[in-house]
Order: sequence, then structure tokens, then C-alpha cells
Amino acid sequence: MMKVSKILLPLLLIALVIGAVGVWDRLTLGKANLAFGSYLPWGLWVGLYIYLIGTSGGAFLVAFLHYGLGIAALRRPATYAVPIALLTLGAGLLLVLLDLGQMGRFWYLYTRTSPTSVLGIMVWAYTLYGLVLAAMVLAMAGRRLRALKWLSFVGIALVIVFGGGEGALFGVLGANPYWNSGILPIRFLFSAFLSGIGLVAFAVVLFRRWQADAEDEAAGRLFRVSMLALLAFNLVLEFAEISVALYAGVPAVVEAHELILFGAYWWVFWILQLGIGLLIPALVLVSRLGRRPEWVGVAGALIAIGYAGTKQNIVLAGLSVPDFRGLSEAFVHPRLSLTYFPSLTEWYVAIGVVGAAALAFILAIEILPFLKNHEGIDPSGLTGTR
Amino acid sequence: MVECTVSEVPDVPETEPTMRAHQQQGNPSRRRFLQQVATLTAGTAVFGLPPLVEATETEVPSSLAELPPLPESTPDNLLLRMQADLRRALKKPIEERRWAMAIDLRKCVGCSACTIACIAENKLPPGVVYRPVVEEEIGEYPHVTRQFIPRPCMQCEEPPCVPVCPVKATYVRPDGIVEIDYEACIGCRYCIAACPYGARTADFGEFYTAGTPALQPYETEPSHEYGRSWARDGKASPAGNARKCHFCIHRLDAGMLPACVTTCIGYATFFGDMNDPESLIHELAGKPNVMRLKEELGTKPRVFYLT
Repeated sequence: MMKVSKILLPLLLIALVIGAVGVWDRLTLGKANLAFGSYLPWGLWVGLYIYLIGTSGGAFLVAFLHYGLGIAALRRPATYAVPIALLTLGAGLLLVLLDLGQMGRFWYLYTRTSPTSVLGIMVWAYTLYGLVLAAMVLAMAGRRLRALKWLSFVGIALVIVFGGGEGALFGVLGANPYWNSGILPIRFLFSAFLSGIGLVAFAVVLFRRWQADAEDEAAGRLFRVSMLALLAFNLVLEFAEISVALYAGVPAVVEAHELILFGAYWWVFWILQLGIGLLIPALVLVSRLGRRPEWVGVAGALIAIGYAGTKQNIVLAGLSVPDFRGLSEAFVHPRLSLTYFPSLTEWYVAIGVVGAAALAFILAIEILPFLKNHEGIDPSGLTGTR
Repeated sequence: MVECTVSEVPDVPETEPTMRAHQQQGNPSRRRFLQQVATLTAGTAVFGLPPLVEATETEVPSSLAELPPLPESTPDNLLLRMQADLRRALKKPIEERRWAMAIDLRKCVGCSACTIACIAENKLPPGVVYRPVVEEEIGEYPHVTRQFIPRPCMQCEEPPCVPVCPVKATYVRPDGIVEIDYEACIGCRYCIAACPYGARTADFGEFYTAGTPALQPYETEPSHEYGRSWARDGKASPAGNARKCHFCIHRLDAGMLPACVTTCIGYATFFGDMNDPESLIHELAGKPNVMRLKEELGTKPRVFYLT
């Protein structure tokens, strides 16, 4: 077992216990201990769900670049990208399942799907994507490169569908001036690519011995360049959205942006999103540090953390602007409030679900032979190890 | 004045929601619908009188004519006029009715009687409200005035909440009311986010007297929304679902006006069939001082405000 695994395992087991407490609370007491309400109907779990699902799509991009497009430098990272994509997808779906008011009816999403609902369509895309990922894991175990190639093409098509579709989930809501923007699906897709690549870079650097060979050097360079390019593109998208909104001056949109920039959770934007998620990793990657693999991994981790904040901001800012001025004062109740901070139960479950996904990843790379060797599948198809 | 509370409405058998059946089965369901209406009204006392509709196989509830005549309507007795409008509408096939509401903002005094009546009528739990009265303060002291805007569900002709539902649990009935199928709703709350009027609330399965020595009996009394009996245990639907105003369908089916209409102390809320040119609602909705909320969104609300 790797040293880092030995350090992380007890921490993740603690996270699992904390999560179990939260899930027990959710299952026995229903939604009594959840802090969101009706005017702000989604909270931490939904923000994390869209983040994790997006990150899954971004991780898949790494696998596609190698298995689908044959970029040899990503051979080793691609091995980790597939299980990361599968586990982040599972974690996101588990969170949103726990968020449902009637969890026992989740299967209605398949039996009664509405073709007019973006959410309904998304569920099918997630399911197909999950099946593709499961098939890819099997193909990796069997070293079937041809199957991996075709599966990665199907998978990336689904990633584009649900990666953009997640943004559309919010963007199509004409009732919400902050969300109702054509740029949102694009923002979601490219921020997903960024956080997914960042997480894979971090995992690869953390869990496998980086080798001073040409392949790893090329992988490091590719991660560095792609993360920098995506950071720049995401910055452009975000700047376009904020500047246009503030200049146009539509009150509800301006209010949402002002909440993000100067509201109670200003620190999520300025510190988490901009500082940790953008500025620091950008500085690391453009500096000399960015040439060292461990710093590429650090930058990836910072990006992954920062973009979790971005998704929370998108969800909560959109919901924090009232449909009517005075609505939350018209009938006063904690569930009819526009202020929100996640409850302990929400934190517990979030920690537990993310911890469980991380734990499953560590166990997978420690136990499954085709992941344990750290090496990936040789493109020649002749061997699985070097 | 109509004197009838929901407690007088008997529990109805566990059947599918009326309009869902109508949608799924086409014409034959009209018969079933009428049967359900009849079942609902059986034993219901409107003015302490016999039921409005008998359980028959007839297409149109002709037995409405058996009701004793209403007291003669006078121009200033708007409730009686709306009651007569309602009876006339109920004689028509459901798809020929278009229920609508008008709220006269000049008459509303912000007493919130409608809010409370709605809560009592529908046995709404904590955090669920169908008809809050939004207060707006205009001007600066000492030249201040206040305006009160009751906000029921707008029962939009193009409701943004309907297409977003991933499981088709909410839909527009043939009479224009947007219904939620409590037994299909999974509680994702996407419809709540989609409503531009904040008219949908989530039922978190809570009780007013939770944490006290005993849960009070009134908390577990069933509501009769959508013509069914919904016992409350904090877990079964409608707990966990999205909920909203439905123009008191169960009362309409029994020949009664919505609770907020009959309770309004200032005769500020009006209700009726927009397809009936003789009705009060049709008359009011045609006035030049009518506005609808967020009309620019194209939702075509069926709630009109007189300003």
C-alpha cells in the first residue's frame, strides 16, 4: 500500500462515519434538519452534485484524449481518469438522490420521463454515461483498447450533452434572470473540463510515482498547458457574464451578481473562486514551479477546490434574489427565507459522500490489478505494464 | 354567505386524481370525473342543503338544477353572483370551463384572512403557503401608502413549472388549473425554481407542534386537495412534494367558491369561469384597469389584478 494511502485511509474512514451520521439523520428525520426551504429550494447538495457530475465529465476528457484520440502522453493519467469519472458521477448522483423529497420514487425518472424536461433528459444521459464508464472499467481490466476507443467516443458525446445540459438545467429557467443566459451551458461545460482535469492531475501526482521519463514530462506539460488555457477561457467567460450583466443593469441580474461579489458570501467568490481556484494556480502554472509535477498536482487540486465554490455560487446566487420584493416577509417562516447556510446534516452528508468516493478510489487503485500498477495500458496493446 | 368547511367534505375513496384520469383516458373519464364529483359532493352541505350532484352516469351533472335557487342576486352581492356563475359553469363540460381569479388591489386591506383561510382549508403544514399577501410600501414618510398584493398560484396558461418537471407530475387540467400529482412528484423542486411567482413551496413534512409533548390532532387531519383524502404522517405525500394553490378544486367540484374568495372581508377577490360571458370574472377581466404579474414572461396568468 502506498504511503499516502496509509495516511488518507483513516481520515477517509472518519469522513465515512461522519457521513453515516448525516445519512442516518436524513433517512430517519426526513428533511427536518436541512437548512434550505422553498424560496431557496436547493443548497449545498445540489451545488456539489452539479460540481461532481461536471468534474466527472472533465476527468473523462482526459480518458478520451488518450483512448479516443490516442494522445500517448496521457496513457498513465487516463488509467486514473476513468475511475475518477465513475466515482465522482456516483457521488454526485447519490447527493441528489438524498436531496429528493420522495427518494423512494427516484425510479419514476426512468418510467415517467418527461421529454420536455432538461432534468429528465439529463437523468438518461447520466445513466448511459455511467454504463459507458462501467464498460470502460471492464475494458481496461481486459485490456481491450479497441473497445476503450469506441466507448470513449460515446462517452465524450454524453459528457458534452450533460456537461452543457447541466448549465441548460439552470439556463432554461426564464423565471430566473440570473440563470437565464446562453453563456451558462458553455460556462458549465468548460468549468467541468477544468475541474476534472485538475482533479486527475492531482490524483496522478499524489498517488503514483512520477517518473522522470519523456512520457511523464509530456503529461505534465499537457496538464499545465491545458489547465492554463482552460483557466484563461473560463476567466473570459466569467468576465463576459459579469461585465455584461452589470453594464446592462437589469436589477435582478445585478442583484445576483452583487450578492456574489459583495454579499454575505463574498469570500466564496473572492477567496475560493478567484483566489484559490484561479489566481494561485495560474501563478503556479505560469511560473517555474509549473514545470515540476508536484506543483502541477497542487494547481490541479486548487482548481478543483475553487470550482466547487463556483458552482455553489451559481446555484445560491440565482436563488437568493426574490421573485417578488417582500415575498419572504409576506409570510414569515424559516423555510420561506432567502438566507441559507448549510446545516450540520448537509455538511455531514457532503463530507461522507465525497469521502466515500475518495475511499473507493484509493481501494480501487490499491486492489484492482489494472489500476494498481500505475502504468495504464500500453497503446501497442501487447502488455498492460511496462 | 357560503358556510362550508373542508371538514364537511367526506373522505373520498383512494382513486387517481381526477384530471390525470381525464388526461389519460379521454372521453370515458368524463363519466368517471362526474362520478368523483358526485362522490365528493355527496353529504356535503352547501347552505345546509342536499348534495349538488348525484352519482349518475350522465355526461353533464344535470342534477345541479335540483339545487334550490339562490337568493336573488343584487348588484352589491357579489358572492351570490359568483356562486351562481360557478353553478352555471359546473353544468358545462370541464374542457369548456376556464377558471380565473381577479383581485382588486384597491379593496385589499392586507388582513391576510385569505392566507389563513387557505391554510385552514388545505391543512397546510409549517413553511407551506399558497396565498401570501405581499406588502409594498410606497413613498417616504409622511407621504406613505401601502399596497397589498395577494399572490395565489397564477394558474398560467403557459406555466413554466410544467415542462421542467422530470416526471410529468404537474400539468394543466382541461379547465386551466395547474395540478400537481402528489403520487408522482419526486420532490426535486425544479418546478419551484422555475416558477416566476414563487408560488410553489416545498412540504418538508414538518408539524407545528413538533417537539411538544404531543402532536395535536389537527396536525394529522387529512387535507382534501385534488378531491382526495391526504392523511398526514410527515412522510407520505404531500410531505416531500412541491405544493401550490389549486383554486380549491375540491371545493369547486362541490359547488363552492375557493376559500380565499368567500373569506375575503373586503370583497376583493373574485372567481369564476372566463369562458362565461355573463360571469362576473369575465366582466372584471375585461376592464381597462387590469394587469397581470410579470406579463412580459409570456406565462399568461389566469389571475388578474384590478388597480
